[in-house]
Amino acid sequence: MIELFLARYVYLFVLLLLAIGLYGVLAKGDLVKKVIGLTIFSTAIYIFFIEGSLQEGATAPVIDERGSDPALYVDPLPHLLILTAIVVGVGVIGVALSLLVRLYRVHGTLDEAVIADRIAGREDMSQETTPDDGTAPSAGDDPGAAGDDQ
Amino acid sequence: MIGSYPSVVVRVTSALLSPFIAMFGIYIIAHGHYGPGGGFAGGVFVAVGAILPRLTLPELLSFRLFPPWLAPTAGGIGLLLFLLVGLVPMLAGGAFLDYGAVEIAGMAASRVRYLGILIVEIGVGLAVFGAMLLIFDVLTQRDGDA
Amino acid sequence: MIVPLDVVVFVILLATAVLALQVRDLLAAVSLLAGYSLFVALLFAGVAAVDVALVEAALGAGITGVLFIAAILATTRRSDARSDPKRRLVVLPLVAGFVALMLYASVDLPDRGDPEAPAQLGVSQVYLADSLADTETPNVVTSLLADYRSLDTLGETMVIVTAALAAALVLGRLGEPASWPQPRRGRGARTGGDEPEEPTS
Repeated sequence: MIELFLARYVYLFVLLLLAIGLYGVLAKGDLVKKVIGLTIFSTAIYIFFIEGSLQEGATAPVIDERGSDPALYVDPLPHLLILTAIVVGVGVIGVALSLLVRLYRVHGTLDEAVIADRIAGREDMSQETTPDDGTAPSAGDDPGAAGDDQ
Repeated sequence: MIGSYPSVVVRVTSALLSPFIAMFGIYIIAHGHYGPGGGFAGGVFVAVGAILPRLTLPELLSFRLFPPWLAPTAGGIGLLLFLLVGLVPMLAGGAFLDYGAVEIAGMAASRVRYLGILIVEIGVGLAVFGAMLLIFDVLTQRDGDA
Repeated sequence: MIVPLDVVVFVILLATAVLALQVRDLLAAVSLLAGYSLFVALLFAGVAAVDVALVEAALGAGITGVLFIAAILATTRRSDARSDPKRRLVVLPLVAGFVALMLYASVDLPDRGDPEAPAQLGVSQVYLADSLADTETPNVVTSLLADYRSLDTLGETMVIVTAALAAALVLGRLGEPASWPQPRRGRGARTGGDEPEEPTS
């Protein structure tokens, strides 16, 4: 049992972090909380990749006086991939936050349901077909809020 | 561009610290060959050196240290530098970004690749610095529309 | 890789992640997120991924937090979204299904630190063996980033610059050339004073 835990515990924790991030993206109504969930989710994927590069008895991939034997150093390829992924992730967060600021300037709120209702109410009053994609499941089933807003 | 922070200690400390943080970022870019670091981390440190005065100092001062037109300019120059370095080996008959194909008198091919890595890291650092500073500037500008 | 330290860091990660999502005050949530990223960087340093740890500490814990705080200052600090019990009914089974699927998939993954794992036997062996002779660069991550796989890095750099320009376009800054190149309402601060015309505001 202990053996199994020692060999596998990283996957367990990464899976829990992925689940937390996914829950945050899907269930939270506040848009900033959604971006936070997105960050947690992507960071869990970084951890998964980096832990996959680990080798027993290997050190950081900087060649030193011990020579160029590949068994002495951890796998540098996941490091490169995740290094660039982190930077691109921050770019994604920057674009997401600027979209949030823009939405707040237009609608005065960051509540996803209110914004979705308002957009749906403005574009067609029947509210049956929202132009949104699947990210706003509560847009159509709450006709009271849209009526209040208009 | 948040504005002036009320405490003088914070203002003086950040004004003193900012150039050193930016210098540390340049060191990280230059040191990437031999240890942890490189263009991405170094560019971010330089950007932090530019963002710190914007958080604490009055607008006049922070814009004099790192003017706002610097951000898109640095981003564009960095990306262009990267692209041009990639094109130079093609003139020498090699593949795109294959620095080893360039022949410089008195230099081994590995040394040329070493130099190519350095230039690429500088380009990446400039691009990341410009991008991060531009995103921050855009998010903190006050007199937006609507 | 000290296993007890790793487990402690993972528990801290879980706690900060849950708290960052649950707390009402968005500034507190962002602080927790920055702490989360810092512990992720510690985890990376523990498994000898020094380059990634440096970038995660600088970007994840530094710039991300600053960007979030800037966005919160421009919007609102309170997270007062309506709680939607109907949505939770949909989301919780979805997340449970995701966890079950991933648990099933993780059976086939190699053990931790296994030197015989398929990912360890690929092209990175060649990179590690040849990097010093090919490029005179001891740090293999750097030679990978800027030499062996520089086309990849070029694409990433383009993505970064494009993301920054997209953010600027979304917030309508590049569309106002009069107020863009110079600092607004600063007569003495025109360091880039190569434009003859005065700002309109």
